[in-house]
Amino acid sequence: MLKSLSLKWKNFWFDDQFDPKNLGLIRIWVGFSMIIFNFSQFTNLLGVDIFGPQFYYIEQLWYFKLLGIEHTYPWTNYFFFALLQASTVALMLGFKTRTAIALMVLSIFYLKGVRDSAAGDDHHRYLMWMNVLFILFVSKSHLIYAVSNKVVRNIKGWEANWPIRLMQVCVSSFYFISAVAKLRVSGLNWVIDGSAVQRVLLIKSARWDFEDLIIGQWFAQHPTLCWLAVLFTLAFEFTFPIFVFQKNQRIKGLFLVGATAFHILNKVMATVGFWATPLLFLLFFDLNKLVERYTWLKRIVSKLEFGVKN
Amino acid sequence: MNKKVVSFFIAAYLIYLILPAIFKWDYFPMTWAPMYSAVVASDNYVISALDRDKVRNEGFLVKHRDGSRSNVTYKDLNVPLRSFWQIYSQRTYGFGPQVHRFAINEFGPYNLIEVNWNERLFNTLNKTLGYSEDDPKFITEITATKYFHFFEETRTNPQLNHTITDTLTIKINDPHFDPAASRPYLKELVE
Repeated sequence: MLKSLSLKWKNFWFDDQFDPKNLGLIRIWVGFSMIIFNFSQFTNLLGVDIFGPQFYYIEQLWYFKLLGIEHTYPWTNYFFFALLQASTVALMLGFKTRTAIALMVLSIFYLKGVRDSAAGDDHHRYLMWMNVLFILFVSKSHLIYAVSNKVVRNIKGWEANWPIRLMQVCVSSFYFISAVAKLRVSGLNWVIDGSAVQRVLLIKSARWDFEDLIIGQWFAQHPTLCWLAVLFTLAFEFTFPIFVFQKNQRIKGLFLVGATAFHILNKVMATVGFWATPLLFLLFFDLNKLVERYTWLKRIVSKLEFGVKN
Repeated sequence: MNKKVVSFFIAAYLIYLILPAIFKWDYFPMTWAPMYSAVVASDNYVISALDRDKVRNEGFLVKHRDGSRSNVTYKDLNVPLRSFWQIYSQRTYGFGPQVHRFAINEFGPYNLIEVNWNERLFNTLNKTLGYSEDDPKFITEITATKYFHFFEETRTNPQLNHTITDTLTIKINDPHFDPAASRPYLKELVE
């Protein structure tokens, strides 16, 4: 029994399913996606006046409390945002990758602290991304398609396989944990009707003006639709981990298109800020095969092809 | 790292993913799931709304120690509008952030931390604007206006029954500050 479990563990984490090039391509993709995502999360902090008053936080995030940061320093918003975007580009190019990741994490913590301490709401939109960054940091992603690594090195298949697997497990676990938390906290209240979805839609559509978010408002008027949305959400979240093991690309693709539609509808109907999460779904595919298929893509990527031994 | 070390790392990492969810540690960068999982199911909802232009252009109406009145907007405070509306709409009315309101224990949602939002609000405004206690411009009253929409029959035939305009004035160091005392509908408010 133990031997069989150990074998399954090894097969899952340390097989050669992914070409090592995938790890470098994932790093490039995550960097590219985060450039867009960072803009969507922090541009409102760039509207403050550098020479204006320092805003005293109403409820600091835990680490701001710990560090005794009580108010804003407006110029730091600009400094850390520039640092974040510069290090994100460095991550994408593989320039001093690990330093770039460390600077990204520092900047995200700081900017998130500034944004969320103002009113006290702790937003977790960076959670998945931070985990992916951490895995890229400990992996050998800095040795593949990296401008800082011009020496050809032989990276073994398993060394690229486990971080890719861990990122997939990580992304899918967030959905699974969400589903478990729903049932754990609210029991069958989640499933007996569509209140959970209806409540959010009504709040969001009424927040400023009923003329905003008309689709969400319309949706909230239909309890049956809300109920179906609740069932769909739970089914989708519970089954997400299955797709870590799914080998059929078409089924996987269809599921992830559905998941993407889920996030986009959440954004359109209820302004839920997780719209960029589907960018992480590419982690579930063999990116190297995708690059091989398209000549123009191959040409772009080959310019960074330093650290891969073919 | 060899495979054995990596295996230990993976096992430790998986524990890090799972433990916060089990113990409901709703703090970044651990988990967020439990606090967003509470369902407030009811046949009637009270939902609050703001006048976008009024909040953006006029902000709070405040009274100073010298008796004069003025407006304090998000620009005066040098804070993004998005943060300002949360303060305006929620903290002024004594509502904490989601992580407080929907913190979960074995008995269900509870207020994790008792916060005197009244005191915090005056502190934030006065300190940000640089008014000390002996300053004639020291803010002593804050007024906000919002709407409450009353929805009924939400489980069968949801409809907006009526809307009221609510103006709330809070005073500094008011030991009896409790917006809900004169507004029973705040107990049914879903934010």
